[in-house]
Amino acid sequence: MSSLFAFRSFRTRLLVFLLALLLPVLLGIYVFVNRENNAYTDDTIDSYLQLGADVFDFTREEHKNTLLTITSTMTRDWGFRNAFGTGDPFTIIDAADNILMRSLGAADMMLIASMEGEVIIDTRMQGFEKLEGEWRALMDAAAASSDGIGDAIITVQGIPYQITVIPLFLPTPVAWIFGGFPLENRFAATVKQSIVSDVSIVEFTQDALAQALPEVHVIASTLSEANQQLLRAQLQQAGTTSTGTQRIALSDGEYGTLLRPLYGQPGDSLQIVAVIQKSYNENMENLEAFQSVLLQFYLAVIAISLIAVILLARSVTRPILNLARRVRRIEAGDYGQAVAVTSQDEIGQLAGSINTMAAGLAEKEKVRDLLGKVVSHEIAEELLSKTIALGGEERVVTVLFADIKGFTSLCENLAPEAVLTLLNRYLSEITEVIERHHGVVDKYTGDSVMALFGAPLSRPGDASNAIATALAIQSTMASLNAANLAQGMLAIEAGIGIHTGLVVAGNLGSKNRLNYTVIGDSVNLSARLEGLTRRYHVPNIVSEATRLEAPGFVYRELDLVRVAGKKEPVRIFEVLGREGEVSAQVLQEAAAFAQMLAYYRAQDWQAAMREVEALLAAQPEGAREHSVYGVYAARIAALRDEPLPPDWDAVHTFDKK
Amino acid sequence: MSLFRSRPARFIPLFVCLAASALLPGTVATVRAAELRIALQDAESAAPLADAVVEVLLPAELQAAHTTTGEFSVDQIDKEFVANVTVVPRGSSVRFPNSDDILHHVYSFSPAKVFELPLYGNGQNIEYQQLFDVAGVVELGCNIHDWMLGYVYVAQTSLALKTDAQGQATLSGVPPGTHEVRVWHPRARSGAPELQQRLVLDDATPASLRMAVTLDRDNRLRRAPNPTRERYR
Repeated sequence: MSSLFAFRSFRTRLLVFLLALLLPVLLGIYVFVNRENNAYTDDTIDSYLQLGADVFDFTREEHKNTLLTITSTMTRDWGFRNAFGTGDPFTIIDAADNILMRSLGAADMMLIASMEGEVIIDTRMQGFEKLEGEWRALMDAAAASSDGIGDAIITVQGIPYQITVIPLFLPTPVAWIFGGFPLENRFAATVKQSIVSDVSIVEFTQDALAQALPEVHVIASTLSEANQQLLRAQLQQAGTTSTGTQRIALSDGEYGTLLRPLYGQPGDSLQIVAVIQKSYNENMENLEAFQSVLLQFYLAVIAISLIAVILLARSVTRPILNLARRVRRIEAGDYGQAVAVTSQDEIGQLAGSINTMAAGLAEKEKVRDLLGKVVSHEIAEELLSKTIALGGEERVVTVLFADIKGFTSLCENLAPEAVLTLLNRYLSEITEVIERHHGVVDKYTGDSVMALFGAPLSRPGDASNAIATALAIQSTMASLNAANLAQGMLAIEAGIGIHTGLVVAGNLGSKNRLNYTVIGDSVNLSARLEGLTRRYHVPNIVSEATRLEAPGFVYRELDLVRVAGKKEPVRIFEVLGREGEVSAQVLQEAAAFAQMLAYYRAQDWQAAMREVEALLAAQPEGAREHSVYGVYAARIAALRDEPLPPDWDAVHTFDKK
Repeated sequence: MSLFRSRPARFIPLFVCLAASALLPGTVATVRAAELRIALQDAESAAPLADAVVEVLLPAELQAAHTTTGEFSVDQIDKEFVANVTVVPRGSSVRFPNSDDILHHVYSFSPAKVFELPLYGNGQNIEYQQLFDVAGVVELGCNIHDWMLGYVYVAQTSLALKTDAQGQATLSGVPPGTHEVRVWHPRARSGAPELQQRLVLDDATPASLRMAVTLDRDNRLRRAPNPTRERYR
């Protein structure tokens, strides 16, 4: 099956199917039309022959009437009456011959017999003196008829004659006048003129005892001599019993043939039939012309169909070939040059799908490239090797914001190229640190970096990695600053905010440009925390959620804050370093700060102020104002002179973002 | 039953009531004439048969005594012979005047008398007479009008009569004795045996011959209808 119908091209398949459908239909029509035409030809021939036979009979009837007219009129001629009155046979036979001459050939023989059947004269001199056999029967039939007229076909010296008989009145009937004309070539030719069919008169002689085929003799015929012989031979086989149209092959094709008995019955020793024949070929000429027209019409139909199919195939295959080329290009990695979708049909839908697929592949490729740039090669491969649900999903992610503090003022003193170079250098370092700690850079926004830990892949210790990243960024910044300071440039500090919470992760953007990112309050809170580092003058702020997720680090609580857009207060911390790596001095300072915070929350302003001032005093001269202790000193100074609401909860509210 | 039948017809039984007067044995007959009363009818329709001829055939030696010849005439009126049947004793002469205003051509090819009166008109051949001296039926025809058919019955003697419209005739003056009596009619089938019978006639009581005659159909040619030529009649 598949090998039979495995076509090289769609066009070939269409062509074969079209021809498979069209040819049987055309063939069926042809056969049907041919059959109908043949039937029509048969009908036509049949009616020709039937008509011919009728005309043959009619012509014979007319000749018969003519014969009666001649015998009736001429025998009442006074001369003939006188001649007959003489009773002298020689005179009478001369008078009869005279009548035959006057008939101009319409009558060929005359026989006169007495009312009793005694032959008076016979122009054919057949030699009998008394009417016998058929002659006698004809006479009796005429005598029995009302008008004394009769007719019959009688062979005269081997030739069938149409014979009529009428009485001779003198003035009473005194004799029978028989007249006759031969059914010969001349008669056949006369009939043929009327019926445009061939006429033959054929005699069958059958020995009653012998079973052999009858002797067949063509007495008269309008056929050629050769055809007469063919007709004779075939009629000898066919006999005379057939009453319908039979086909007889003559030298120039088949003839429809109809027999009309003239004399005798089938099986008689002598039988004479008229044979009316019409050539099928003459009628077939029209049919063949029609067939030729039909074939030309078929060729036209097939040609038009083929052209239509080729055009149709082309209209289908051309877009398919375009699509195939496009797919091959995609296979080779070229995602550009979208196929123009011009139709709404299946091919159009396929083209649209391929375009979408190419866009998706291109995006994927871009992601792969970007992933390679943002995350370490291992992470990228790990990400790509797993099935990542890029649809929206809720997951717990630790979001890290890192921002370069004082970047704006930095820009004032530098040329734009230098700004970009510097920025990229810092960002590259930060990015490298993030990736080293299995973070994924989500985006760069100006001088800030947003990094994800736990998306798109979560791994154990995401929050700890984020804390470690923050610490690493801080040390990296310190070393960078050391180098910059050596070159006489300003020190740059980074502010880092970290929060862990539920986010919605997925591809965001338009159909053509997708970004994998996370959105949600947690992201906002991270950004807020990063912003708060400027208020509290600390390098980093970590939410309580992250702190709980990332043990093993030393934190100090900074405050309880209510950031813009959030009702719930958030406890914020500063990570100081890994456990065991933090110096005793720092730990002591942190303990003092915690004591101060306790007094502050208990509204023991005096003790709190005492603690804060002690901590401030330990700070270097220039850093006192821009430290968290300075923030608290100012806050306590403001609070202790004001009446506080009874439900004061020590939560500091930041209205501005 | 056709008029053209040429063979002898089958025998048709007919009643012949020979109601001849009883012969009176021992009666001596005086030499006087006998009388024959004839009544004929058409066997088929039973209608009286007119224009039939009844002739008593006398032996040759008696014929002369009973023959009185005369002059007769067969006229032609409206293209017909009038009378259609004329009975004449042998030796009589007949004239054939023409009363129509067109010409006629009278002929006969009958063996009893073959003659011809070529085309002649009204008033012509007035004195021309044909002598009919052979007994027999002479069929008259006209060569111009094929349908014209008349008969002159030439009897052996004067003992022949034509039946009247009632089919009757009375033949008197017949010598008593046994005679052949012949009945003839143009359409009676010739040769039918009943048409000639032997009758015994005596002078005491009139003999009676009642007979139904079987007729063939009229065999004359039909007269050509020609209303446009009415004025020629």
